[in-house]
Amino acid sequence: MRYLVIEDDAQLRAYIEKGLRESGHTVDVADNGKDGLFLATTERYDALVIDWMLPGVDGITILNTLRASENAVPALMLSARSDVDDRVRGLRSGADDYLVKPFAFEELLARLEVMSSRRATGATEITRLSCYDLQMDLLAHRVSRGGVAIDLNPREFALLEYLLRNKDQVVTRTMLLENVWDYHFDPQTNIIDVHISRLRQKVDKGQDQVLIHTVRGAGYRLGDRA
Amino acid sequence: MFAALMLLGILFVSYWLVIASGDTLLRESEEAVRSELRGLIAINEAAGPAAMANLVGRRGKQDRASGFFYAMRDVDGTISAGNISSWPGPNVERLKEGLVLFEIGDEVMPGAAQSPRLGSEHLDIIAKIHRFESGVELLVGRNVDDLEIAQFVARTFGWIMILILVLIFALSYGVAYYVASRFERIAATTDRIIKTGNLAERLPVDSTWDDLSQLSVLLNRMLAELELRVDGIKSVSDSIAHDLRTPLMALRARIEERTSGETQAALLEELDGTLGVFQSLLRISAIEAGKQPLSLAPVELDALALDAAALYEPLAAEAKIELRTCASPTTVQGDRDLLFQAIANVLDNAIKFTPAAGEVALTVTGSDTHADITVSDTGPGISPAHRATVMERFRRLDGSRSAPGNGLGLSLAQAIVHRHGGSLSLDAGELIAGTGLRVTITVPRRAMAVGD
Repeated sequence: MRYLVIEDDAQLRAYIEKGLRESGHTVDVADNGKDGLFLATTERYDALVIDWMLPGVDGITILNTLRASENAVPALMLSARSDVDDRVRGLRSGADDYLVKPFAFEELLARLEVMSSRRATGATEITRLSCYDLQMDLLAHRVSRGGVAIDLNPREFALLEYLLRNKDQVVTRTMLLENVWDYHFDPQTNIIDVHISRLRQKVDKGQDQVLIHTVRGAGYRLGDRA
Repeated sequence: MFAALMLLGILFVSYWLVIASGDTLLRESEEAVRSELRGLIAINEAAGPAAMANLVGRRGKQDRASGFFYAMRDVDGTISAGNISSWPGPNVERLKEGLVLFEIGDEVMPGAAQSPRLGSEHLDIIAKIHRFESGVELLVGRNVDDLEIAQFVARTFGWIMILILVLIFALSYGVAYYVASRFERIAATTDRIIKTGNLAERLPVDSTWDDLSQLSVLLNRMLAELELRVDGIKSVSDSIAHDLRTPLMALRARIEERTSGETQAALLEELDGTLGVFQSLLRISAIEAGKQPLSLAPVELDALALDAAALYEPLAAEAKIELRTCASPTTVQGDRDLLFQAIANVLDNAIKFTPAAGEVALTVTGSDTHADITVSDTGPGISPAHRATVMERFRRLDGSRSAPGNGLGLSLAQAIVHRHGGSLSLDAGELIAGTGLRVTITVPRRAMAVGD
């Protein structure tokens, strides 16, 4: 994947750049809004990482300009502010995701990869999801593994659906909270782990091939590769 | 006190009016007429009619000024002595006990003293007539015009007094009400500032000439000074927060770079814990300061609470705790994510501190004005003495140091609830008598969006 990072903080910029390269991605960087906007409009990227506060042209302006010219490249907004309102404003102005500093690199990586791969698969209506011998029928709300039906409650179903939609991608606990539970809050306990372990009981228990993997320091990944 | 004095005044004036309008004075005149008549009759009996006629003649000459009137009528109908020239006609007003009330002109008997009240053409007189066996009639009367004037004066005076009293009453009531309402407004504003911690608010100042306004101006200056200092502290802590973020990020990067495996995981976990405390503290300050605007929208509190319960149910199940919910439909105006955070923190706390085989109960109830969320547990509870201090930041009771968490959960919940204009209170648990804790979150149905 090819990413553009627009961030004025040299340390943070280098940190993101290095991390992305090590994860096998191509990275361009810009240290101000003007250069960033120029690159974003002239080159093709799979996703953008834009800092909210930038010298010259700020993040919101970059996004507004891009969206006004019908450039729908996925964009992730970075901000030092954790205000709920800022997040809402960021998402409203066309950002696809929002991350508050400081963040773990794994969180950024997971979100970027999910964003860009979703763009690659396109927005076609999917009615069935599958991975290895796990099948999910979205219309009938049925899940089976190796032909054996699995009984899931609605929340477990939503959780598995999110994992399946982002198959082979790392999803973080925060991403799960925001997308499956639709609450932006800070759980004091790793409550998501408990839900995942319940789901594992139903999906992976007694199976030779484990599908739900824990990615240390990051989150979870659903896939048939270890 | 004031009202009692007013009442006393009104009673006094009423008494005065009763005296003036009643016939106490009239009765005195009647009595005078009667005793004068009795005296003359006695003289008639003792000294004979001639002596009496003589006396009537003399009295008539002298005493018209004293207000007494006399007339003696002979059998043939002529007035032989006295100071009135005409005998009252048949159309006199008859009073009780043989008394009559009639009006005479200014005409007097020849030789009688002049009327003391020149210019007044008619006099009102009450009189009593005695008929002797000889057929002679004697009339003794008394002018009651003065009485009427006295009555009129007294009555007018009474009404003026009442009017003045009423005016004083109304005026002082108005002034008292005005002053009291100003005090109330100052008290209400102060109360609001204490409750919300919004130092940007100022006391109302109506004018600049009285002591109360000067006090308000002074208090406002104090508030301005406080606000300036608190802002100073806040900007310092904000810049500390900002300055610490970057090195923490760098540290995290270095840990990821230089370490691996178990060591890395342990170091990262510790650092993330520190970052978490840091974030929570910043969040509590931001919410308490009211700088962060709430995204207010109608929130279905019951659904929100049930979502939170569903989220925490596996955690409870893992700890062998029964989590029960009872939520009646209640909608409030509030910030959905923040309210969820508050409920989640309280639930999280309850589950953490409740031992296995215990119980945690979540309820949502609503009234016209408020919504209540309660979370009760069967944990060790908090003694009444400690309840006030438990919500201070980082406060965890000595017996619970081993429980996970950074001790900021309730502080954050309280900050959120206060921001919504509500309150968070701690009571003894209700599930098992004598143990456990009950946390009650009360939020107004229409959030005030304190501080915006």
